[in-house]
Amino acid sequence: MKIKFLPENTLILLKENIDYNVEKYRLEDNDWICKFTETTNPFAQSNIEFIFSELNPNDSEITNIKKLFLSLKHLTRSQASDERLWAGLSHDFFWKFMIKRWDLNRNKRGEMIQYIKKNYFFAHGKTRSLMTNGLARYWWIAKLTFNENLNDPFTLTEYISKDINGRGFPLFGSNFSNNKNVLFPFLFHLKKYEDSNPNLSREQFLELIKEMNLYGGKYLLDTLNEEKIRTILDNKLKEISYKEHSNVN
Amino acid sequence: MLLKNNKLMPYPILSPQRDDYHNIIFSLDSVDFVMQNKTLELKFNVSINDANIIHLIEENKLRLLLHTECPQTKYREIHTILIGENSLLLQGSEINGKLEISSLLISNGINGYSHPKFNNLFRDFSFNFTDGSIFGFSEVYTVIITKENEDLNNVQSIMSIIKYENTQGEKITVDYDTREKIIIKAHPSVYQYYYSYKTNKTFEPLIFSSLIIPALIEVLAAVKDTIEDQTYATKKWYRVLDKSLIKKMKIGLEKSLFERYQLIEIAQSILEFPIGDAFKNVSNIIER
Repeated sequence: MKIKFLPENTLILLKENIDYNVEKYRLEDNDWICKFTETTNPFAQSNIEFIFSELNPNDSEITNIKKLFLSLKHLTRSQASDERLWAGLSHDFFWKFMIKRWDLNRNKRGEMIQYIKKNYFFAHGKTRSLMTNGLARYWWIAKLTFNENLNDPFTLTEYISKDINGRGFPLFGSNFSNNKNVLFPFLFHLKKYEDSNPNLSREQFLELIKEMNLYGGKYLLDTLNEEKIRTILDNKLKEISYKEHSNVN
Repeated sequence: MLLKNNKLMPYPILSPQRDDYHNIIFSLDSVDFVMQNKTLELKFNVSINDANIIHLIEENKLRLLLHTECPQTKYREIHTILIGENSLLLQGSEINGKLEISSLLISNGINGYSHPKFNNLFRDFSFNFTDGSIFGFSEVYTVIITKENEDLNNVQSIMSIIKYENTQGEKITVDYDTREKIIIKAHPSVYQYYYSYKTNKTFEPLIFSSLIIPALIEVLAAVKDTIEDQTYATKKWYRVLDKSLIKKMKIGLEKSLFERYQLIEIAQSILEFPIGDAFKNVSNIIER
């Protein structure tokens, strides 16, 4: 099977007319797309092979992340940063998953339009949209954290997927996370820390990201070794723990 | 990686954008690239004209690196480079859109560092640079890597006319901000006429005159207003229009173009003056 994507003009047509089609994003069937685009086949076939594996909206995020990534592991970064690919998959192969996972359980029409735009298309800048699109985010979270050198390559993916909105988004919004030599030690060390200190809050996690970004003003983080990254985090964790302890007392 | 050149630092940084040193050149220039098969070959030149700093690199107290980052694909890597001409091979599939490159001098640990060409502010002081700290940075270059074989000669390839259901009163609007193409949004009744005649050559000048020229004027006005900042320079539509104007008017999208010509003249020139043909074709149809 080959992946089908939305050609540029069809994508623009659908994206610009979400307001008109908003209620269609509740329908079980996606055949309205042919009618609206006035064509018998609104999708175009790519050369990218794909073993379709249905996602289940009732499964956990990590289950769907793993399933989607394993079926599309061979995508290049360039292909996976293309809105046409994710918009195509959302409106075609994964339509049934999308309407349930990202159901329009919202009161205001304006919110529904934005919700569809964000999940089925790229609603923000090209980089941020990779993390906000309903399908692309699954692939990218796995792509950035998948580590073949570990017994379970999804170890770090599982760790960050416990709180995608609160921890994942700010982390992947920081440029240092784009370099695996920085991201892996960062996540691995915090995972290890949390194994024995399970109370690290979302806010504290954000403080650690901030600390890394502060160091990024003075150091080129890409050149730091694992030990140095661990030291930065340990010092900050000590400070966090001290603050917490002081507040309790 | 975009380093802020106005950042106040308690120690000197060697950069063409700062004056922490007097008369020392550290620059990245002659940046060029070739995309061949699946490989991107980057070519560039790095200049440093100070013997003390070159000595620190030779002694391995400083590392000379190239930082490459593509925000769109979250690709970020560092590469060890040399003073002088460099050639670097990157995987094309890792990159799409903007590739930001800058050269950096990174400390491997230097204690008691001072330099006779320090700015007065730093003179008589010495500094310790710990391992990994930024010692210097060059300008940041942005190269645009496009994957599709874009046809830079075809203005029509950057215009999309779409049906827009929410438009009231049969109006058309134009969007040049959100995509690589210029999108003309037409009320369904207008769109229906366009759709019926879009492949008919007789109607092409009429479509150009009534839909595309007004849209181009709007786009050109936005370019003119932001010409200093080059706000739209990375858009595909911008590159196509620029190339088309250089071919047709011998001048691209630059300030002097807008000083010499009215927007309506420029728009007509891009489309090879379709208004006369539009009238001629309509009158032929009427006389039939």
